[in-house]
This record gives sequence, C-alpha cells and structure tokens, in this order.
Amino acid sequence: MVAAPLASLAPALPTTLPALLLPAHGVGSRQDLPLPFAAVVLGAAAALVVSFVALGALWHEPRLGRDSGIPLPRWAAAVLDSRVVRGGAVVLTLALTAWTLASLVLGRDDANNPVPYVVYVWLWVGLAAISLVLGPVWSVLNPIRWLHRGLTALARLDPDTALTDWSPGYWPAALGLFAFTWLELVAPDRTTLPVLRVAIGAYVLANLLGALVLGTRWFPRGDAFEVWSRLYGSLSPLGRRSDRRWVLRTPVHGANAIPVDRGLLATVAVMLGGTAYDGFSSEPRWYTWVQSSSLPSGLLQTGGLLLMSVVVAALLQVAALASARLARVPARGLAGQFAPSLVPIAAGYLVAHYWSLWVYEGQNTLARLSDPLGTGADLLGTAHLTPDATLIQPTLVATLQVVAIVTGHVLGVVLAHERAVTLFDRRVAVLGQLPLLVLMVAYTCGGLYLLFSS
Amino acid sequence: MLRQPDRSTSARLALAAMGLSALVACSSQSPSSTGGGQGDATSPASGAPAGADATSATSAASASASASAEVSASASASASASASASSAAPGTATSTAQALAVTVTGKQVKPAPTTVDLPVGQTLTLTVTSDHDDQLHAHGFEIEKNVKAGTPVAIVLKGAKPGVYQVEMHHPQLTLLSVAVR
Repeated sequence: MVAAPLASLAPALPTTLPALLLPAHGVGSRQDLPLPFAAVVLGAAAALVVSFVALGALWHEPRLGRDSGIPLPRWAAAVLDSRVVRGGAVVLTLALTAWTLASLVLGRDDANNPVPYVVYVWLWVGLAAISLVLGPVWSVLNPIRWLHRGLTALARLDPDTALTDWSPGYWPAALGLFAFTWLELVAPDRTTLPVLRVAIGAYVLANLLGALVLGTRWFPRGDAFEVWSRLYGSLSPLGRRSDRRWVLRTPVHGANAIPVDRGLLATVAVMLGGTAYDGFSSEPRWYTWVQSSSLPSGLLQTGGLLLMSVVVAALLQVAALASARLARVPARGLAGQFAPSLVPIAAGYLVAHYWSLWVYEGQNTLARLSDPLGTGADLLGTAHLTPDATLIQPTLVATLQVVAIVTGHVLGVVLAHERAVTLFDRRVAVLGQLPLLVLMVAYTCGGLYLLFSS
Repeated sequence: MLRQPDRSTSARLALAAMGLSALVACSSQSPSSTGGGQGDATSPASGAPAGADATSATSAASASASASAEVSASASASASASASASSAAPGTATSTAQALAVTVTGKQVKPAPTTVDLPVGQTLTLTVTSDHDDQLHAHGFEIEKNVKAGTPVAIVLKGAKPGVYQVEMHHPQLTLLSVAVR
C-alpha cells in the first residue's frame, strides 16, 4: 500500500507535537479489512461459472468492431470536443502541476506536504480512476506534452521532428511504470521531498528526451502515465468510432481496439504485477521474512515486485503457447495479441485495491494542497476538510472489491474470446481459448486471495 | 446492423454485473466468521508484565488479568499473538481488553508478526521491549513513543475506525503486527 510510504514520514516528526497540529496524520496507513471468506468463494465461483458459460454461449464470429457503439447526441459530442472544455481542463492541469512543483521545490518536507499525496494518490490512482470513466484524458492533459510543445516552439522546431524512425513500442512505458511502482512500493524515503525531486526530475527529463528523439509519437507508447491512462481509459464507456464520432460502448469494445505492439505484454504485466505485489507485501508471512532476513529488505522487495510482474507475463506466455498448440496456429506474437484481455483484469484489481485510498486520501490531498508551502496558509479554503468515510464502510468496500474483480474477469474473458474467434479457426476456437480461460480464473482467484489474506 | 449484437453484449454484461452485486451484497451481510480465523483464539502472551506500564488504569487491570488467566493453547498458529480477555474477565461488564507483549531483538520480532482482531470500542494493550533504542509508531492510532533499550513501553490501542493498521518500529523499519479494527 501507499500506506507505508506515507507512513514513513513519521520519523521526521517531532514526537512532542500535539496531535492537533497533525490533522489526519497516519491515516495513509489505513488498509482495508480482509475480504470475508464467503465473498472470496462466491467471487471465485462466479468467475468460474461465467467463464465456462461464456465459452459456449458467446458469439462465434468476431463482433467487437471499431464501428459499433451508440452515437452520443450532437450536443454531448460538442461538449466533449469543445475548445473551452478541453482548454479549461488543460489550464487546470497545468495550474495544478505548477502548484505542486512549487510545493516540491519550496515546500516544507513534513507530513503535511501535498506532493507525495498528489503523486501517489491523485496522479497514480486518480488518473486511472478518471481514465476508466472518461477515457484516455492524459493524452490531452499531459503537462510534458505541453512542455515539449513549448520548447519546440521556442526552438522553432516542428514537434513531430524525430531523429529516428525506429520504434521501441511500449517498452519505455513498461520500464517507466516499473520504475514508478518501485518508487511507490520499495524506494526508501519515498515520501520525502529530496527523493521526489529526483524522481520527478528524472521523469520529466526522460520523457523530454524520448520526445526529442521520436517526436510526438513518443507519448502514446513511451510516456508511462499516458500509457497508464490510455490502457485503463480504453475501458471507458466513452469512445470514438472509426469515423471519429463519439459513441457509448462497452469496455470490451475499447479494450479490443488497444493497438498491439512490442512491449504491450510487459506493460500489462507490470500493471497487474505491481498492484498484486502491493497487496502481497502486507501479507504477514512475506513482510516477516523480508524484514528479518539478513539480506537488505529493499533488495528482497525489488525482487518480489519484479518476480510478480515476470510471473504474470510468463503465465500468459505459457497459456498462449498451449493455445497455439491446441488451435494449431503459430505461437509467435500470440501472447501479445492476448495481452489486452489482461487490462480489464488489472483494472478490476486496481479498483478493488485502491478504492479506499482514492476516496479517503484523495480528500486528504485536497486538504494538504491548501497549504503548499507549509506556512499554515489556507489558500483553497480546504485545509480543514475532514475526509468523509461514507464510501469506505467495510461492507460497501468488500462488495465493491468482489464486484470489481469479477467484472474485470468477465470482461477479460469476453475479450479473450473475441481474440480467439478472430485469430483461430472456428472449429478450434473454443478449445484454443481454454488455456487462457484457466489462466484468467487463476489470476482472479489470486486477486481475491490477496484481498482475503492481507 | 452491427449495433444490435452490441446492445445484447452490453445487456448480458450488465445483467451479470448486477446479479453478482446482489449476490455479494447478500453474502457480506451474513456474519463473516470464516473470514478472520485470526485473533479470536487465545494463547499465552509472553509473560505477566503485559499491561504493567499501561497508561490507562482500567485497561491495565483487565489486561494483566487476561494475560495471566488465559494461558490456553492456541488452535490457530496465526492467532498466537493475541490474548483475549473477553471470556476471562466476566466482572468488567462492557469494556473488554486484550494484551500482547512483543520483543524486538535486532531485526527479529517475537512473537512473529500477525494480524490481531480488535473490535471497535475495545482496547489492545501492547507492550514492546527492544534491545536497542528505537521509535514505536502505531499508524492510524496516532501513537508514537520512543523506546529505550531494555525498557518495556506499553501503549493502549483503542479500536475506532474500521480498517487494518500496522504497528511499526522505525530503526530499522520493522512491522510488529497488524491490527484489524472491525
């Protein structure tokens, strides 16, 4: 959990400070109660039944076309495309970025500094949440895109100027997401300003460099946060048809249109593996072993995080290999073709895992933003905001967790089915997707188990 | 032509999601006795001094009572850290308390970290003894205390907001236990 990083601010605090001065200090360390066992069994059973029913009952010809969806009314499409709405959102994002950077550079390095909250709660979890609802918003808002645009304008360069035609695919994003996950879950002192200054500085530099080498086509596949927003945003009910018209569509329509490129499997594996590791790391047997080992705990945690991601990717490779055998098609590239079907599974687990943090610490972030420089100011009038706990009641959270995980699973199964009937011969399509189905049931049960055990 | 099947896809998915949420909502209303498994059983806490330094008089009394009274063997290994007073102190009508003593030696924590259940409104008296100077921090309970080498320090954790909270030492970073407030 981000719990640990936020909590690690504690040593910086004088222990004599009265609690009154520290509103909500330490609440970052709250984790959800374990899922009731009955809910786990129910969720796993539902996943299993739905999977095999889907196998027989779903369509036999590809059906999730790029031309489908219910067109939005003209006025709604006009609002979504309006320069005022888009420009306003960009200005707001850039202002928030500047505000946060001021706090990063000039603020006080204590538990009330908003920067770690903005980075770990709003940027990481919040961006995924907004993207799930509205689509890949970061491709419009991304401050680095605007910085790049400004710099190239100053230098009188075409922003699309590239030094090479070569494309690394999604690999830079996979590495970037891994680096961020490592920062969030493993890095020592990850909520302190010196560490965040280095991390944010390195992120800006790396992406500017990427954009200088590859031009603006760097961003959709290279920028970790843009890929994060695009992949989760593909599940949004809002999307564009192939004729660019705004439509309402199912999450599987969007996810089916994710462009497959090298590194996609690695990216999805890091997304799923990172969230899984976050849950796994609060499992008592794991942290007991890590903290009492003679090896440095950071090394073991890094190993655990890496292993989770590698296992997610390797299992998909094995399942794809088995599928290729059963469906008698070449195995090459097949795992990448099925990688998009892990996106809804990752999204389901993300919602289950981060819902409480987003709801609760999201409000705390707003409170802290009101005093960016640690001067006791209340510039936004939100400094004394007390987070509302209505949306994180244990029963509600447990219900939401199981529904999110099982929904993600169902969407993943439907997507894999669509891929199977697209790629495999009709007679072997059912047989061919069996290994993938088994894998998804395993991922889903694994996710439920993590929510139960830690 | 293409829109028709799409609608049925969405409808099927929506139906499945709605059915599931109803099912889960029903199941999570039922008592989740199978969920924890930890913390209900009792076992010997290490030694009688538990609660001796406790700051709250009432909980200290019931806590030490429980620590000496409840020395039954534990059925569940994961429960080995908690000592419950719920059955041991029939005299205290409403307030029930648990006590637990933890010893830190270098990077080793005894008893091994586990998740202890703490019902809302009840207290857990935690006594920590370390072989080195350190800082004890109970997240979510807003308690921080300096620990001197060899001197037991007791803190009283009272269950308030539901959730799981970790109790840590900071030098080196060690999680002593997780407290599940429900």
